[in-house]
Amino acid sequence: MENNESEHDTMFGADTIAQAIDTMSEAIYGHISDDPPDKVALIGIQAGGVPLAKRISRCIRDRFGRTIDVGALDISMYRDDIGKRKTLPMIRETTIPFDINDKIIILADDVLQSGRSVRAALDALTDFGRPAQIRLAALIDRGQREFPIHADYVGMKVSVGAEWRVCMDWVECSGSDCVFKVKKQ
Amino acid sequence: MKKNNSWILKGGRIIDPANHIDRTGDLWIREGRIVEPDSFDPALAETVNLRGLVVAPGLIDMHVHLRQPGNTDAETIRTGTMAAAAGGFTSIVAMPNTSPCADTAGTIQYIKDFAAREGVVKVLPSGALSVGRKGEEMSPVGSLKAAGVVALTDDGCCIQNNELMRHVVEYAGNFGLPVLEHCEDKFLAGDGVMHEGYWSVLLGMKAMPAAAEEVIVARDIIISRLASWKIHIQHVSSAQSVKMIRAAQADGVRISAEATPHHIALTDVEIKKFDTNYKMNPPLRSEEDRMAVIEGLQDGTIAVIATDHAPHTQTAKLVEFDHAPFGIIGLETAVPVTLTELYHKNYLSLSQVISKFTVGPASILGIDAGTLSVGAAADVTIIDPDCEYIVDVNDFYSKSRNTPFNGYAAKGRTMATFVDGVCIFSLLKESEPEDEESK
Amino acid sequence: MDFQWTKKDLLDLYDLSRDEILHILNTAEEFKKVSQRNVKKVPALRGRTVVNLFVEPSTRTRVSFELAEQRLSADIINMNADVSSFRKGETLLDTLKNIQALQADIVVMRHQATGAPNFLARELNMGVVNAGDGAHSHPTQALLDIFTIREKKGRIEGLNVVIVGDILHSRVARSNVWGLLKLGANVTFAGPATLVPREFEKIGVRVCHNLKDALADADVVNLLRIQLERQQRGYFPSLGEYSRFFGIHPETLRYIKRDALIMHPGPINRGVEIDSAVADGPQSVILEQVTNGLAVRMAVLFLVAGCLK
Repeated sequence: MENNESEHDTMFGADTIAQAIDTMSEAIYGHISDDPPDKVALIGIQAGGVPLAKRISRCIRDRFGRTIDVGALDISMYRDDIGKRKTLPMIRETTIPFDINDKIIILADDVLQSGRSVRAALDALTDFGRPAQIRLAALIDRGQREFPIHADYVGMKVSVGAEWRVCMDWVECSGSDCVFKVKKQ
Repeated sequence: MKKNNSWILKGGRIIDPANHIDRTGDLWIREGRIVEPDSFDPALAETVNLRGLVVAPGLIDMHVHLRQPGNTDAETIRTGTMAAAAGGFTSIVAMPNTSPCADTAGTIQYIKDFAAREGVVKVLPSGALSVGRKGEEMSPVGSLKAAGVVALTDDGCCIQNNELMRHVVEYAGNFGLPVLEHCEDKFLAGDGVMHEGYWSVLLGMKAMPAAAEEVIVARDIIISRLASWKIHIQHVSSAQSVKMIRAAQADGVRISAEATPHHIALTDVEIKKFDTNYKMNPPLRSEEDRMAVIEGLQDGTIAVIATDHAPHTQTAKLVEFDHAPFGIIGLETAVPVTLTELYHKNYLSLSQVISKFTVGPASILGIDAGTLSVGAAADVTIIDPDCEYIVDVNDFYSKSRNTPFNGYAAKGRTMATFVDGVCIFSLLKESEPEDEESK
Repeated sequence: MDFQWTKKDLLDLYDLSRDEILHILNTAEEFKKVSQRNVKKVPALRGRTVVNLFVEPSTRTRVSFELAEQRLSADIINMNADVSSFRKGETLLDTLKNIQALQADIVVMRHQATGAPNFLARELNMGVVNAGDGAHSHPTQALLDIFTIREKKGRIEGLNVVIVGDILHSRVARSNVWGLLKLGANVTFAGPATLVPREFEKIGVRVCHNLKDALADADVVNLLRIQLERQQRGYFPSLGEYSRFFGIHPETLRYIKRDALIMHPGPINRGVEIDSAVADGPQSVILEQVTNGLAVRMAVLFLVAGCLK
């Protein structure tokens, strides 16, 4: 995938994103095709990971006929920076309509950077039960890790300077699919 | 070294309501007395140019708590009179709710001695109406008169027993002592901390209905008529009280009344801040009550403005609203607040406002003060009616800081104060340095 | 799109906007789910210290707050009415300044003096959550009441909510009314004339001194506890008379809507303002109020903690 460091904010559009999701779905399916049907579930990290989880699930169903349960997990209550940020994160919906014990849970997040969100998600998940395995699917890996976290499935690797923040819009929330970067304040 | 007490105050606007004077001119003072202009060699006096300023008789506050003896943490005779001087007051009536209570000649003598030594303005002591202000037995009125009180009051408390009240008033009349009354039916008032009305209901606070004041105002009107002696109603706050007093006066009853600057300026909406600097008794009431008090000042029903200066230490006031003591200071904000709220809002003329602090109280007390007549003691207050400034509590001479007017945008200010011809306070740039001690 | 909570204190619903109230309710929904899981705890307030200062005693509210704090992983200091420092004459402000010096982050306080939490919120850096002050305000109770109504009815707007009882002395009524009006409900206060002042009409509340009239179209009936001392001070002749004219009995249910909710902040005086049959009956949501109280208090503590420096 391309590295894009031009002045323009937008980095990738809907087509590139769709292709990346396709590739990820194929890779995921390749790993789980032998597992029993109910063994695997996708859980999207609020907010950007939720549309990703749903799309991966839809893609796998459409292309490979396999149905995978999807849940949503809000990690605001597990963050390590409550009170240190300028603004408080809004708690969004947590819905995990299945038992996670002994399952292979694939966490989904749109942009992987420091790894702190994933750390919080891991803590949250262990309060729901004891999965057999937890894997991570990230649409964008932009590096700059602060924790020893790695993604098992990556849509695109991106390398921009530390002064940029990499963000995603999803058509479900903001009207269009778009990966873009903004200068940090 | 004897301080200068001869002055030629040139070019000010002399306002002397007692003598119906309001004109630009010069005021001559010689050896502490007001004299005819040009009646002595100007070289013997200091001349000051007061163009643009008002020259008024020394203001009188007939409702001041000096706290000494007993509660000198909040105020002393010295700091209280310094605050009075800064406020423009040359005579103040001290309330008797000291500790011990001013209900014996001994305590009155103590106050007078202390005031003579440490006070910078004239302190006129009042004595209690009942022993200990408990409302059970009459205080030794005759001895108190002999000791030098100018009036009797149980201020802070109110005699609930009507028969006792009748006897005390009759007896006071015997000795020619004005009776000053804090009107409060203690059962109706209960343990209320604010005015009973829209805001107390909304905030869920225990409240005192205006009826608690009105019931005693009605009682006093009847007792005044029965005892054939005058009664002066302190800090009138309710519209119905003003209405009853007006009707009684029209009917020939010898009832007079005073209002405080805070009842003229503020209402109970302030309580929603839960700031104890808005807690006093009688409490701030509704807008209708506030306007009725102003109307009472306009038509002369209320002839006096008095501050009910009630100092409390910060420790005492910095507690939950329910537990805080009642009262706010007022000596140093009376002039700016009344000029801003009454004169500059066109409710009263400048002369009318000044009369509420001069001829009004003087005639009720029957004292020789509040005028600039030739021969009178040279108690003079210089006011700049248009001076715009922000009230800053840190400039106060009072020992206490419990005022709701910190930060108030004032228009009008006391610029200098003379007692017996000696300048004891001045903000004027030319002549005198800052606040001086007299005597 | 994200709503920002910006207040370090929760003192009163009077001060909150409609959006702020909705934000608390939405947040509380998520915290309710935590209590329905196996692991009923989240680390959100780990490392934070919360002081429960109940100068006016309470068991139910205090336990609810304590549980909420534990489920948020906070450290807790309990200070109750018999705390000896008050007897020694230390002022409330000094007590709290000492606690602030110990680096406590939030104080949850209940006090009989109206305005006490407002006074402390002004003077302290700590977050102040009002658990009830005098007859003035009890915001978390109102929030859990409104949460319960919304959960059962799906909305607040346009609902007819009737609050019955000693409105004059009720902080529950005063807090509920601001929340309900801001969210668009029609509010009626009902009770004896001595306990339900007409002043409330000025804020848009219907005041009714006849119970049957008041309940005619009610979607929600919230009953306030009658305290014995009110009868002793002469507000009404006897508890029996109060119960007869203003209590809710099985007969009352015959003339109100089938799906009207019966609510009560607790503890209930069985046989006075409410009969056992009604309190335990199908229309009653009294126990759910308690469950929702926990979720609401977790949400409030979480939001307030996020605004501390």
